[in-house]
Amino acid sequence: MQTEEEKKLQMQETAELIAAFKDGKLESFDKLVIMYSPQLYRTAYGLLGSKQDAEEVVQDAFVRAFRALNNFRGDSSFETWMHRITVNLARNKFHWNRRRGEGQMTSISHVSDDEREQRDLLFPDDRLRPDFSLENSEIEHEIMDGLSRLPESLRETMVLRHLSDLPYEKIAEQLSCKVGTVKSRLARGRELLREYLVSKEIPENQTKRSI
Amino acid sequence: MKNNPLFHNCPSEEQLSEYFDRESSLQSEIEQHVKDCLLCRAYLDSLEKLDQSMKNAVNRSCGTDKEIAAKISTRVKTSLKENNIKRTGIFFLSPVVWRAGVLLVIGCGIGFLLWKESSQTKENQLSQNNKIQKSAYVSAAFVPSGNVSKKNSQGDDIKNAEIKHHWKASKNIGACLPNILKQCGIPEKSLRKTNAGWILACKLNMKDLNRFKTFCLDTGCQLIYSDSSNINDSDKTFDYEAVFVE
Repeated sequence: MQTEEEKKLQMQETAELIAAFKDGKLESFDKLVIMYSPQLYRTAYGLLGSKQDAEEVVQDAFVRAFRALNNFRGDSSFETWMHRITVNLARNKFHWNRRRGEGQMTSISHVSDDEREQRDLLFPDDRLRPDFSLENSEIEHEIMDGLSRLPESLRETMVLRHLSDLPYEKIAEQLSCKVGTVKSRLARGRELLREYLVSKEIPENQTKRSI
Repeated sequence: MKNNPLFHNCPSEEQLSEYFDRESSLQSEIEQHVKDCLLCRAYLDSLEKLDQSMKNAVNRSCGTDKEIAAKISTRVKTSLKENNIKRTGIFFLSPVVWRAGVLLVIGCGIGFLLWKESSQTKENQLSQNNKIQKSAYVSAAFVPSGNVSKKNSQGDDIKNAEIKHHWKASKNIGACLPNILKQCGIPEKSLRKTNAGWILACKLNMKDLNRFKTFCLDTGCQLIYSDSSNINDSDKTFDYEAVFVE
């Protein structure tokens, strides 16, 4: 997580890069891509659960930003603006995938053994790496699975908080809701995710408030 | 501090969730409570574990910041290059340009139609005026030189006049002419109205004619046609004919 000073420096640098871009130095856009793409990519991945989709969405978001940056007035920060574009595109992509029936693939528990075998061949699982802790891997895998099963509004809030490290106010700005709504969505999302992990028999002492 | 109904004296899960995010307004109070409460500490640990697991899961799949930045940067550059190539074709112009273009074409079309219609109206008006003038010339007592008797539009016999004038007059010339005639001493019965306009046929000497002409010009009439024989004697009276066309 960035400190306040780091954030200020980043914002200053961003403003300079945007000004340079508006002056015709197009190469400054590449620096913006390098600066913001990791955070946006993680957000997109958290929302979609697919690397390819996340790459596509982030690429599309930057292409749109490139076209519109000259008209960017700076009412909100560049980071907020980019996050909003990415979340909107990811939302569209998520619905598109679901309409095409790809949403079901996010849950391994719902696919047959044959399908699972086939998919494992196409997308080798990181968890098979020998240096990988199997226990942690299982939890992380189930967490991503649980995340994809959350209602859209809760999932978006959870991702923006846990993966993008955005403060409540910025999350509220991006999702066009009140800060109070963000608070309740986070509490509800965390609770649902914990319940899901319990149902998957993830050790209770790791996730559940034990009495 | 709002109590959780399940855990007496403990903050609610929403409050603990806010506290975990360091966004609670009761941060210090909850902190004090958490120090002494194992249940809340365990809950906060579980949230920490959840947060870390989510971050780890994503980081492990996505790779390091450098790897992500390099991958996305390449993709964006390629995409922008492709878009630039595509955008050189007219069909890949941005929607704003398309809309502006279509509106411009429609605007030009409407402008052209309006211009065409107005010019046609003008043309029609002009041709109608010409027709009126033409008919005035034909129907009026314009008689070619020579001593051949002709009939005007009213069917009256008129003699060849020695001086003939055609005036372009305003619409209210009918009201002005009797007054002019009176001032020039021309009898009013010399004036008659035809479909084409007013016709004056009378006898005048050159002095009276000049007076008459001056009055007509003062009224705003324009002499558009004039035909006269050689008249040397200014005192001699001669046949005068004037046609006033609106």
